[in-house]
Amino acid sequence: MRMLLIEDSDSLAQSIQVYFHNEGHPLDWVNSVEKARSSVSLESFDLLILDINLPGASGFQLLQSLRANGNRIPVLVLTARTEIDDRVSALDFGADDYLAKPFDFRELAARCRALYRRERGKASNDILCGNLVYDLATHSAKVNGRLLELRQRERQLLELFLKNLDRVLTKDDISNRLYDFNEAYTPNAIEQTLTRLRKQLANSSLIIKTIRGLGYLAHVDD
Amino acid sequence: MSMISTSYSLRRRMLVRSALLLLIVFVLLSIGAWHYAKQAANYSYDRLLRSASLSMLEGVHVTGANVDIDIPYASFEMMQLSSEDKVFYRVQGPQGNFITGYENFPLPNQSLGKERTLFYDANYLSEHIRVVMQRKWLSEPEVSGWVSVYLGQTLNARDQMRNDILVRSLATLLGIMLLVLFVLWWSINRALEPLSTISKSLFTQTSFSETPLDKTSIQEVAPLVDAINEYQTRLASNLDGMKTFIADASHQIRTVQSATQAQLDIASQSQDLSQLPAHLGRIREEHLRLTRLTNQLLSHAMVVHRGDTRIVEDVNMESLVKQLLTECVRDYAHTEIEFSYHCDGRIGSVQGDWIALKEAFRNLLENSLVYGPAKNQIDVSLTQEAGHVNVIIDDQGPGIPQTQREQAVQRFKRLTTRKEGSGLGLAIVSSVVESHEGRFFLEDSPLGGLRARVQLRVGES
Repeated sequence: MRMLLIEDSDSLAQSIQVYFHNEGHPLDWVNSVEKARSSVSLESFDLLILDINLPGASGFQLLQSLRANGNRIPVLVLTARTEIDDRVSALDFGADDYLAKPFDFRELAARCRALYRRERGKASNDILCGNLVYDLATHSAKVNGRLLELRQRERQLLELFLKNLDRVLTKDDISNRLYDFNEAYTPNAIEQTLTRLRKQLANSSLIIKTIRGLGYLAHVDD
Repeated sequence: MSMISTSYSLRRRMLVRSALLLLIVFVLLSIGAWHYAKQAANYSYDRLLRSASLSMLEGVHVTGANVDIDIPYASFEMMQLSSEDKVFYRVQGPQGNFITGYENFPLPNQSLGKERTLFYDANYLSEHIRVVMQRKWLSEPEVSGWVSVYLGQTLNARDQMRNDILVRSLATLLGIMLLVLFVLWWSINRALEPLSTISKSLFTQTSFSETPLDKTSIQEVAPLVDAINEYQTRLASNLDGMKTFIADASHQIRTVQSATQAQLDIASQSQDLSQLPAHLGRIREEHLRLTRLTNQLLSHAMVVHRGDTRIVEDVNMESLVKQLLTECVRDYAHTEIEFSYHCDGRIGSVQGDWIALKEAFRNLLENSLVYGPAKNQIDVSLTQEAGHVNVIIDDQGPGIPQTQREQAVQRFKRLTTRKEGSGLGLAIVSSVVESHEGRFFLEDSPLGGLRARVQLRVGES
């Protein structure tokens, strides 16, 4: 995962650089939108971490021009402004995620991994979720290299969750995807499939939470 | 704020409008006066004309079959009262035969009945004239029938008189109008005087002062003075609140900063490297507290500001609560906290500020998450009854004792010594609920912990 950080505060940028290097991810750092433009045009990155408050052109301008040119690179926006207004505009301008300063470095790394995973899932057959690897071609899942013995329904359910990480899936959502018109299903059946799936995933980074009355949410805790 | 239209002078506007009204009244009265003057002049001169024609008719005598007239001197004498006017006449016998006078004198258009006197207007020798026809019935042995006298007079004297009356009444009217206008000007000035007195006394207060304006004995101005004083009182209490807030905030921030500073100093003095991780851990802890405090302060400021600016939109409470709950579940997925959601039928939308409301409910959820036990159960439910929607958050936490619940809602009142709390969470909730004219309750939860219930009005606010 190769990242470009656009941030004007030297000390924060250096710390982020050190942190990601320690994590084993190369991270390049520029301090202005102009330099970022030339870096992006010269080299290929998997992810941009973009500060909004920059001297000269603002981060939003960079984001806008990238999206206008059809560049779909995942962008995580950092900002110190009042939380909510920026979140709205950041997502409007085409950012993929958003983090308010000050933030926990572990949180930043997790968000970057999630973005990378999402992007990579589109191109590759493997979905990587911490210690869980799901192969879309063979429909097989491994936790820490150990192959899980999944029945067909469990596999379908797992795939559905992996494609909808951090989103709430209602029972209706699940039944519509897992069962066709001819198959009778009971909400109980989904519950049982899920219980077995959870047992299989016991030591994995994938957590499937039940929100009673609302549905289910899968989250990668890595 | 509504747009301010171009400024105008109330005094000038009132004066101009009254003057316009007076002008209309003046025009109407002038038309009346003109009619009256015309009528009065006609009345007087018609009487003169009639007397003259009557005395002329006296001069009619019959000799055999002949009707003749000797016009009496007196009748011409009467006509001479208006020296500038010309007089025309014609005397006509019983068969309509011309006896004396002007032969082609204009006769009345209408047919005559039994009346003896008739007035009419006519044109003669390119002059307007007023004519009286006077006649009497002759019933002599040889002649019988109407003998008529037509007497016409030009209008100079009448016009003169009419104009005299008109000019005099108009002059009087004008005088009265000017007087009324002056009185109006004076009373408008007098009525507006308290306004300038109030502005002067407000201007002379160089900085914000808490001394109220003097009471006034003018009943119409008293509400304004009361309103200004009331506003001043509220402003003063807000300023007091802000002073306390700044004092509290700086106390909290500085306390955390000093703790961090102290830990840093100790760590940098320490020779024992094995102690370093412990110091760093404490610094990190203090720093997290500072971060949370800053966030809460900014969030509180934002919520109060948004409340003041009255942002109103249709807020769908179901989707707001679901969105918030989803974010919370995602952030706390790694914990053993269980969540549930319950929605009682269809929930109407609330008129309010989405961002502020979400911030409020986020604080309630975070309170349950932060202060609750590791194995917590958090239930969020939405119910609607009688035009109100209730958002209820139940938890299995330690709760807040009945006696401390009021205190809990106030700013910077931390009830525990746990370090995560900033003391602002519930204050944010109260501010938001207050600005939405809703109600906020802390109750016992059936789950054993605290129930936070926010009641908001559905629909139009």
